[in-house]
Amino acid sequence: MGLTILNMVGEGAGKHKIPQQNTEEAEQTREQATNKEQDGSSNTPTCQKDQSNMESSPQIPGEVVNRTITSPVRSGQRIVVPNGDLTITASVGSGAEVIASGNIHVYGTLRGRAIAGSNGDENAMIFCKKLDADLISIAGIYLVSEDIARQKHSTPVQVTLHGESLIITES
Amino acid sequence: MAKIIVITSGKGGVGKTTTSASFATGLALKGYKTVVIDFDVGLRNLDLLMGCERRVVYDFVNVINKEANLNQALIRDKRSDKLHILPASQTRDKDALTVEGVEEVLNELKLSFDYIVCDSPAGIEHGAFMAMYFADEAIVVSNPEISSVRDSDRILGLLSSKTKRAVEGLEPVKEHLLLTRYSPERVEKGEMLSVDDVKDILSLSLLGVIPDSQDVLTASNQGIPVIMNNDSDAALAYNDSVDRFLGDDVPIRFTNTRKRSFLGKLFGRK
Ligand SMILES: Nc1ncnc2c1ncn2[C@@H]1O[C@H](COP(=O)(O)OP(=O)(O)OP(=O)(O)O)[C@@H](O)[C@H]1O
Ligand SMILES: [Mg+2]
Repeated sequence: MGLTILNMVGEGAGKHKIPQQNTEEAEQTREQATNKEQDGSSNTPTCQKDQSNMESSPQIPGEVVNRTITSPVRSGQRIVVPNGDLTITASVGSGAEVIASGNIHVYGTLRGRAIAGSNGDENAMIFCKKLDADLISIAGIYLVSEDIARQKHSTPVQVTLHGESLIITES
Repeated sequence: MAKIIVITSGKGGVGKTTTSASFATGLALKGYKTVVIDFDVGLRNLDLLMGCERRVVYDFVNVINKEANLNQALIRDKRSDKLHILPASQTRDKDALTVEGVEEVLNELKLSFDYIVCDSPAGIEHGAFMAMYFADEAIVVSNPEISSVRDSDRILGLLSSKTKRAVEGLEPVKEHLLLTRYSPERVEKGEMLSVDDVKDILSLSLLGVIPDSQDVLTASNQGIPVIMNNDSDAALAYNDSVDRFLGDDVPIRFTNTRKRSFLGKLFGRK
């Protein structure tokens, strides 16, 4: 089991945080902002870090609705699970966007953007069979393709958030 | 029941019109009554590739606007009486195509044809949308390069969400991948994506691989669909693709670099 830590915290850490407000950058940022309306402004942990990932989005009360997608998610498509986990049994194309308040599982190649813990859940994780993503993010902390590409992973990986950095682990 | 096939790509200049002309001709040569429609309003090309540009009187938009009826606008192909062409208007813009208007024309064509081949314009705007909206099957044309493949992925997303079949929750549009302008030499040098790369990225069934060939340009200059040129690899590859479309199990060819034999080298044969 190889452990790879990309982009440790430090001076550069800020730039790897998805700004929650006033950004013209990406749609997904706006999405996060709307999903976060109950918990306004920042990524600072508001939830206790209980070990259970079962409760995927502690901030939003209400029914957890998980979603499973069985066909490829194509460039330009966008799947949002506001309160639950997202499982995709196919690939996610470059230029596609998959977003969940909880975990994201991709049983194919992840080439697009995956945004887990979109409501700020720092325990959210991303799993994929092959990682070649445009961007991965958990609770607003993100890595872009360039960062991810520095590491070659030939096996399935999982992505977790430790403090301010995303950790990609081969499994 | 007539089948509507859209030839689409997202990216421009990848070989949609070339494919539409050859594919429609191929279906007609197999005995199916086929009509090929140019949806590229304002940039009409198909009539040139089919060699019927001097016989255009009325066009698709005239029919939609009821300025002409279908019989007046359909052009019978010189080579096959099973094949008809419905040319695009060069002078109107794409907004002349309305959902209702297109549907009415397609419904009328369905009564007398087995296959309706729709040559889509590039892009993901109104014209491309109209070309794909009523499709039963889609041939997504892609070149072995990353930008083309990504645009194909985008089009596949639209096919599965924005077509009539998707909107009405019917059985999804059947999607096929046609890889054109394929050059095994350039793939070997790492300058182009391989068939397997593209298949892997798009997770799509492969209808065919058309080699990059000088014969394509020659054919379009002569107004004869390349599939008619029996000496050409591109023609054979198009023929194979039509066979596969019709359900035959034909192996993919022309994807390996040709090893020149000693004699071949000696005599400078290809
Ligand atoms: N297999 C091939 N080998 C070599 N050249 C090809 C091949 N297929 C197409 N071409 C060339 O590529 C160019 C574009 O082809 P074509 O007009 O069919 O593309 P298109 O996708 O319809 O373009 P548009 O998006 O403008 O409608 C033409 O010059 C054509 O001759
Ligand atoms: Mg064209």
